[in-house]
Formats: sequence, structure tokens, C-alpha cells
Amino acid sequence: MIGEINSARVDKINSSLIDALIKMMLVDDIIHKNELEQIAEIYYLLFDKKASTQDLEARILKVSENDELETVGAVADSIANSIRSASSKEAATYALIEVMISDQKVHEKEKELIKKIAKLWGTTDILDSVLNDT
Amino acid sequence: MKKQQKKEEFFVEKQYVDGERYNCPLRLLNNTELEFWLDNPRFYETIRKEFDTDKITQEDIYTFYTSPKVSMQRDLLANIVNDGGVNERLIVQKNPETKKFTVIEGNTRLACIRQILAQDLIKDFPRDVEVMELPESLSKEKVTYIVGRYHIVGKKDWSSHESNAYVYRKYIEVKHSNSEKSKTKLIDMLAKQFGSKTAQIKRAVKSFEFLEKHNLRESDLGSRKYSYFEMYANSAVIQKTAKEINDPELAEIQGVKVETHNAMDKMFIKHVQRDDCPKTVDIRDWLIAVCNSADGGRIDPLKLLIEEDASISDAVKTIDAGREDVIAFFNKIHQKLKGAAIETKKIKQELDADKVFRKKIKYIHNFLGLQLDLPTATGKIRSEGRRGKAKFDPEKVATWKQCTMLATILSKLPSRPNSCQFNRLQGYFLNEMNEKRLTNLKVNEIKEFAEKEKEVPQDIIDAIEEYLETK
Repeated sequence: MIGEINSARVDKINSSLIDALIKMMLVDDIIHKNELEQIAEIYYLLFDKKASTQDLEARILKVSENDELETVGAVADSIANSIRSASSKEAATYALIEVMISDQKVHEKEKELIKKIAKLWGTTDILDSVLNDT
Repeated sequence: MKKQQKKEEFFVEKQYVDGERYNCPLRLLNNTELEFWLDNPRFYETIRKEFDTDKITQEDIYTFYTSPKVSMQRDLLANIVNDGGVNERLIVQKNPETKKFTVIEGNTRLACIRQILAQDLIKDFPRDVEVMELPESLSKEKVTYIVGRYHIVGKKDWSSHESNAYVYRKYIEVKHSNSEKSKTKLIDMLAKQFGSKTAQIKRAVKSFEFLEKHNLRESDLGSRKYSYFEMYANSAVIQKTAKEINDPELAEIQGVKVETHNAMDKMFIKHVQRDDCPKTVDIRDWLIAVCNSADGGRIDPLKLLIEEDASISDAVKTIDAGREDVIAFFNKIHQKLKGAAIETKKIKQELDADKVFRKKIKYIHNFLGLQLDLPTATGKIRSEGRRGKAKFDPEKVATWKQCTMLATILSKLPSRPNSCQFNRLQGYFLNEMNEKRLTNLKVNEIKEFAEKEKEVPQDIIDAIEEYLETK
């Protein structure tokens, strides 16, 4: 029973991460196929199963319709508040970076967004180290 | 004599044709002075078929009208007998050859009058008939116009077969006498003569050209199933496909094997004769769906129809309606966007001015983007991950993705201890990665062990507990 509750909690955290990645992808108004591939791959890693195209599509469209995510600041707050544990924040920072750089171009809005999130999460050192490596 | 004539011409009605006024006396004529119109469009085709000759006599027409086949005449006769007389005036024109008056409008009534008199169905029924006489000088074209006004444009009491047969005969007439004129010009001429729209004339000509081409004009099938042939010959979508399939070479290019010329037309004629032939509107919709599908490259339903002799209803069932809808929808948009119908400037203005509109466009953009790329993206993910094919370097420090993968795999093992929850495992592996202690080789070893033994390696359990203590 406790195992099931824990598993459900983990799935919820991982779902929040997927939504966060979708928000990151949508922040520059361009859906790049590499970004989609990254999200699909991270989904696979987190859930140990392939995301169905229909589910992922519905999820992306639902996030895209959220009226509250009009500014980079609002998106950053939304993502930052959706993930709470330190290890998840650390993993999420890596995941967000993967999505951000997947289209071979770091857009200004994406950079602004991830910096804000990393600041809110206290993961700026991870961000800097990964960005310095790439 | 003069007095008598004055008495008869008690009134004059005016007919206006082509900007000219014609005085048409309203008269009383003895029914024996009247003759059936041999060229009567109403029954011309049918009578010709019935008597199998072009030389039809007045007697033939009366026999035909009063035969049980013509239910319309029976109905009219019953009405006249019930009313006690004929309420509508006949329209006649003097025939210089026979010296009689040809009934241009009211032939069925004339048949009724003669039958009433012959069988004495109404007591003291008058032998004189009320008529409006068209001037003898009125040309054939103008008479055609008046007839058209009555039956083709106005009252429309003729069946579509009757009126179109009449139009077609007039078309053949004008074609013979104006051989230098184009079809379009001839149709324009006729439309003017009939006072109708060119589309109506074109429709009649196309239908009867089809009947003529397949020797159906003389047949009972041609008149009985006229609505089917009229629809077939005049549907632009069907005719586009028919043009290709009727020509064996073009049909082959389309991927349909045909044995003879006119395979599509023959298939349709055969279908019309089937006992289970659907209604005209249904057959039209289904055949159009089959043709549209073929036009879009999805040829199977048409092949089924032409090559396999399947019924149209069976062929249409093989069409994926949802797919056709999607294709038609996007074809329409594509056409609009490619054409000049949409001003891009207006789109930009609207995007700036209207937030809701912008949101809709964004949604459409995202939606279509996902349709294009998402299936490939999700399809690429294999159990080894997207970059499974990259060169394996055992000493290379693991990535955060590998950390996440290990955390996921180990946390889902049924036998894992409570200390090995996803977050803890993920935190531990990320820490190992940051300390550059977790390499590709190590990742593989842990993964293989977990998959084989279905448990978390003991050294990982110990290390996690230690890690948690330090945290």
C-alpha cells in the first residue's frame, strides 16, 4: 500500500516534470521536432514506458492553452512551484537544459526562463556547469 | 360572316416576346378544328417509342393519351368530369398545311374533351373549345419561347425527361441550321429562345447526349431512369473520373484495368438496372465519394466498382470517410492559402489586434506541428533510448538521463527496500555523476544486474543508506 502511494507520488512528480518540459518547449512559440524527441525520451526514462502519441499530444495542447502562462516570469513560477524535492529539482534542471538545447539553438526566452527557474530552485551551479560544457 | 367572327373574337390577350407585342385572340373553336401537336414534347419521345415510328398520326396520339398508360390524362379527365367543364384555355396556332389549329398548350385537355364527347361522359358537353390563338406569323422560335415559358421556366408540369427531350430536339434543330456556331453559342441561343438559364439548357443537352451515346434515348430505360442519367451526365466530379476511366489508356494510368471503352458509363448503366439500385441522391453521393477518393489517389473503391463488378454501396463502404473528410478539409484550406483568397496582411493585423484570434492561430499552429513531428518523435524512442546507437565509452561519466533511467528501473523493482525510492535513487545517482564516479560501464552493470536478479544490487543499497545519512 505504502509502495503504491509512493509510486503514485513519484508519477505525479514526474508528470509535473513532463509538463515543465512542455512549458519550456512552448516558451519560444516554436515546437521543434528535437524538443519533442527529448520530451518523449525523458518520458520514457521517467515512466519506463513509451508515451503514446495521443496522450502526449493532448498534454501539449492542454498546456499550450493555459492562459496564465503568457510571460516568461509566469512560466518560470509555474514550473518552479510544480517541483519541490531537491533531487527532483536537480534532475528537472538537467531535463530542462536538454529540451532547451535540443533544437541546437538557445532562444533568448528559453535562456531567461531556465535562469529564473534555476535561481528559484537553487540549481544555478548545475545550469552553469552544463552550459559551460556544451 | 363578319358578325360571327366578331362574336367569336370576344377578347384579345397580349403575349410579349422579345420586346414585341402579339395580339392573341381568345376564341371558341369546334374541337374538330383542333389537332394534336405532333411535336408535343410531353409525349414525343414516349409515343415515338410506343409506335416505333417517326410518322405518328392524330389517331395514334389520341389512342396513346387515352390508354391506361397515361395516368395523368385519367386524373385530368376525372377533374373535368367532376367540375363539369374545362377551366383552362388551350393555346393554338393555325397550321398552314392542314388548315387546322395545332394545340401548342393543352393536348391532354384536348384528349379529355374528345373522350368526354365520344363516351358522353358529361351531358350536353359543348363541342366548342375555348382557345387563345397565337398569330400564324409567330415564328417557331417564338412558339418555342412561349412553350418554354409555360413548361420549362414557369409551370414546370412536364417531367424533367419531357422538357429536356424537347430542349434537346430544339438543340439538334438549331445545330443543323447553325453548324458554324459553337456549342456554347447554340446553348446561349436556345436559352434566349426558351427564356431560361443556360445551365438548364446545358443540363438537358448533356443528359440527352449521354442517352444518345448509349442508345438509351429510344429505350424505356432512358425515360424510366432518366433522373439517374441526368445526374450522372451532369455531375462535374463524376464526369471528371468518367473521362479517364472511359478511355482504357487513361484508365490504366489511373491504375484501373478496363476491358472496353466507356467502362465507367457502362458500369453506371448496369447499376441503374439493378434491383437494388439506390435512390438517385444516394447513388449520386456515393459515386461522388468514390470519384473524389480516386481523384485523391485512393483508387481501391473505384477499382472494386469497375474491375470487381461490386455494387456502389459496397464500394463506398471501403472508403474511409474520416480520412476523406480530413483530406477534403485540408485541401480546402491549402487551396485558400495558396490562392489569393486570403490576405496575409489581414492575418497579421488580426493577430496584433485580437488576442483570442492569436490564441486560436497558435493552437492551430501547435496542433499541426504536433501532427507533423510527434509520431516520429514518439516512435523513435526505443528501450535503449534515443542515443542507443552512440559509440559506447565505458569510462565516460554517465549522464543525468542514465541516472534517471537507473532510478526508474530500480525504484520499480518489487523487492526494493524502502530506502530505494525514486527520488533518493535519482539524488544518489546524480551525486555519483557529479562526483564523476558513475560511468557508462557502471550504469550498464547496475542495469543488467537489476534486470537479471530483479533486485537492487547490495552495494547500491549500502551506498544509498550512507548517502542519506550524509544528507
